[in-house]
Amino acid sequence: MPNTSGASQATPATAFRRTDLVRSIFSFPVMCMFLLSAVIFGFCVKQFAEPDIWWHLRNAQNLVEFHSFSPVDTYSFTAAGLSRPNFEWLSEVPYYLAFKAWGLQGLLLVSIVVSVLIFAGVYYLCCRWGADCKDAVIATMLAISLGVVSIGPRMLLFGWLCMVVLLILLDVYRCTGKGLWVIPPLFLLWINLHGSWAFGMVVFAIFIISGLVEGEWGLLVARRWNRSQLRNLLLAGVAAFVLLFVNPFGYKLVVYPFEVAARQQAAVQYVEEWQPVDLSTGNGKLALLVIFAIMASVLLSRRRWRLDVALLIAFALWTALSHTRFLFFLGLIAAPLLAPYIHLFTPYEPEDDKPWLNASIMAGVVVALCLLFPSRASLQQKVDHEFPAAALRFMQEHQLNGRVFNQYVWGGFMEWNTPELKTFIDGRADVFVANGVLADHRKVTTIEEPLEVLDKYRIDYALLQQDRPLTYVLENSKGWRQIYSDPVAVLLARTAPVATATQPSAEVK
Amino acid sequence: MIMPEVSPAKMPPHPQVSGEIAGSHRSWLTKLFSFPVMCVSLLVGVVFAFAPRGIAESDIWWHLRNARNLLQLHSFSVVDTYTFSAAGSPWISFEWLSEVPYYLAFRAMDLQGILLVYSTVVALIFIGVYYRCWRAGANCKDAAVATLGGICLAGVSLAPRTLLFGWLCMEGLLLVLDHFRRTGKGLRLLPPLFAVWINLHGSWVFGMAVLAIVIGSGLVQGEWGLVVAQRWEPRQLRSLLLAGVASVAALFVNPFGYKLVLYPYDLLIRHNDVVQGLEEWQPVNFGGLNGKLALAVVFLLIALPLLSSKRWKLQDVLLASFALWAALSHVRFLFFAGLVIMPILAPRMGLFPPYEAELDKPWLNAGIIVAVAAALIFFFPTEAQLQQKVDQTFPKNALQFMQEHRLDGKTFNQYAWGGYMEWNTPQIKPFIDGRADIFVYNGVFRDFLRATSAEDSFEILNKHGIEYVLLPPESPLAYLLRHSAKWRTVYSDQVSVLFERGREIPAPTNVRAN
Repeated sequence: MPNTSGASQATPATAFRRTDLVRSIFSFPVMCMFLLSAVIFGFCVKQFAEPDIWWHLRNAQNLVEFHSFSPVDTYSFTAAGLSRPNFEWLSEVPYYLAFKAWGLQGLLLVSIVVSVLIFAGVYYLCCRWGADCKDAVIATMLAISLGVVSIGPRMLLFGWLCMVVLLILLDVYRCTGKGLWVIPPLFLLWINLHGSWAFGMVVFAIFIISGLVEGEWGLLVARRWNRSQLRNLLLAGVAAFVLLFVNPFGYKLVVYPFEVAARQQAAVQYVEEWQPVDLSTGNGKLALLVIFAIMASVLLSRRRWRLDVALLIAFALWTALSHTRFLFFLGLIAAPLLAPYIHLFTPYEPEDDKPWLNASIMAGVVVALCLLFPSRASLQQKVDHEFPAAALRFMQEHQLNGRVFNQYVWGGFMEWNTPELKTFIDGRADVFVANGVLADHRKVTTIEEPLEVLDKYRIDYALLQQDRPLTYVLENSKGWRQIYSDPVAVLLARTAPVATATQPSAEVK
Repeated sequence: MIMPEVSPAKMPPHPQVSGEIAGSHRSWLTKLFSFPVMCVSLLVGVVFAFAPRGIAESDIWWHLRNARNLLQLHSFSVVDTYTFSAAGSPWISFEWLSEVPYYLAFRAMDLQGILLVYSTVVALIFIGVYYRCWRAGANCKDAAVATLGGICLAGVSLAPRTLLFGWLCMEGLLLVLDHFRRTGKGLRLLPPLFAVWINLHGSWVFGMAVLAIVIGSGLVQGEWGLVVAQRWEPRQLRSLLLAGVASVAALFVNPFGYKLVLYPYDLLIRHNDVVQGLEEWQPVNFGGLNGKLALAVVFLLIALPLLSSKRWKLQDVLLASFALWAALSHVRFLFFAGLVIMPILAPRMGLFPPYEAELDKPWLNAGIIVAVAAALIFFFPTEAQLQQKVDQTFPKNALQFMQEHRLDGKTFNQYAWGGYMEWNTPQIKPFIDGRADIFVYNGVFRDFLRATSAEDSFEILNKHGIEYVLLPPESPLAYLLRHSAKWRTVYSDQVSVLFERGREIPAPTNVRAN
């Protein structure tokens, strides 16, 4: 028989714990996160048509089907046989498996789940750094808005997820002295997910270094690590660094981000998300808002700043203003920093919470998301509006399989949907920077030497977007004629034979 | 030696005896050859060293023509007569007073005269900035570093531009407001300043914004973190409001009346195309040198309050925010940011130990000042050097070719070359020039952008009945025309290429004709 006295003692405690758990699950902060998830869902749907996802799917398909990594390019005719480690292989697998299971809906689902996890982490960090849960919602909204630049089915999201986990771990360690052992396996996972692990190392280094000094300078304050803290941090750092080499490509994958950084000039000039923030755009105005918000938070409050936070925000601001794609990273750092300065609402009182009202709202959000979740057909329609699906069908039907000069953002889609058509270029900018193809692509699209470059590569077809300068030049050229056109794409075919290097074949009409 | 602020009541008595006069002379010499003055001479040297780079400014030419018309005909043209695409369209020369000194200097000393005018204006502006840095409490070495930062930011407009006179007025306004805050005097200078300013340049609007910020920030009192606001006394506020109203009234003292007052707002409302099309109206590009300088200013504005617990006046916070926003949104306002922000940052820098007047070495300073002056004279560019810079930028030889062969049909030209054509070959009417606004309103600017980016280029050339196209060789439109059967190259050199719409023309012997 069970001990009745014990049971009678345990029952109220268990009941209390259950009530506590229910109150925690259906609390106001969690309800806020559900509302934020709805916003994230909206952005994910809006930005679904991501150009790079397609060649990632093909990578993952090759890996899952052949159980091996292709060490060289086999997708394009311009970089065929060139070495390129697949440095995001582990991120590609969940997308591919989801796609296999649910098609385009699966891709959307993965991107939503990862994004929600990232911003739930940001929201949690905002609260940990001293913000009220309602003000934290505003700060997280700012992070989501900055993150729009990379929201969608992107591998980078897994990298930022690791970054949020790292920030939480470091904060937990600072407060409790625990949790550091998770960092080495985190980096082991991270390097196989995405090259942004290098940013993680910088963040970790800033965290360690800012505890090597002690002092107060105005509002800035630094506390020195004690010996045991420093030893633990250094051990974790060394272990994390060693574990970076546990990957299918060894040292090459470790060196890879630095190689890209050293050779990224061409990518910076050409690839939009690598370019500096354009302050006239929505992203730019948000960046401007962050700059002014940081200035205001320093000037309008006498709150102390930790040295590591000041260095982190400086690093994040510099990277984000220099390269648009890092606005996401700025959001991860700036939101928790700014959240405690926002005092828009009265503080949250857990005693006044209404779990049943929260539960109803959460259920309402879940139901709404299920009902509003796009059908396969509507997702396919989004894809068809962005990519030349009909033009490629036309090429397949008419067996046009010569060398195709394609729009940069369409390469991956062609490689996934019509693998028999080798592309000129795709979103793997790095491989095309190294062999000069990206520079040549630019010479064509900026009308520097379009006809000469098309001759150089003996291009038979040009698959281009409507209303582009190159489309106009070729449409008005004697050596080219339009053979297909729809609202998305124009397909032009060469009519004159390829000329010599000195004399371009075509002439504008 | 520059001493801290001294009220007139505390000034030393007038010297009475010869010994005192000798001492006064020595003191005067010591001040003249003090370390701060030597710093100023070095800063002026920097301005003059960088100034020749900007001599090949595209807009100066039509400004010269405006000024020549004004001085020769003694009347203001109210319609366009320079181009064929906007001929007869209403247009006012809203910078007429700035154009006159450039024209007079050009008449007297050619390009050297122009260089001298704008270098002097910029030097005056930054002497003012240096003075305000020091007045704000910076030691003279930190003030020099801050002013140097301002000069770097000003690089974006360090050229023969009428805008410089606008920034000179801005510096004057900031000095007057600074003086008023310290002494309660000097506001009577504001109305005449604005009366001159509106005739010099449209940037007077920024002056009004600065005046409004200064008045507005004294309407509240309090402390918020590091920010502190002191309410104006009723007498001060009345003086400021009176000066503001008088300044607004003074704006109407111009040859075009209310039209010149409304002009900047009109441009602002309809300036979307200008922003899209003109480099200096675009936001700061953080990938370029200007962007990196702007980034440095952003970091300083965050780091300095963080690293020092010095109070910030609300007025300074609002002015710095306004200047930063303007500069980041439009690269041309980096100059303005330099004027406004540097004197705010300078006292907080603390890069050097304080200046000790007793340790000053007047003779060493004098030697450096003389050396700077000698270097400025010795290295002042010759007319030939300046002309070479101009010839490397503008299509001098192509226009000569057109004149020699009497090719005076409708010419589609590079945007930056329109003014040069109007000044040098007035018989060849250009398609467009740097007076962006007039071409925005009639749609010519949009047509220009579309044609030059290979978007309906042939259709636009046909629409405007273009017979010749004068472009840089590497432009997309030049490529398109080079490969077109309907157009042929009749002249080309390293600077420009001239296309003609299918018509016979004798090939000259002295140039490379395709």
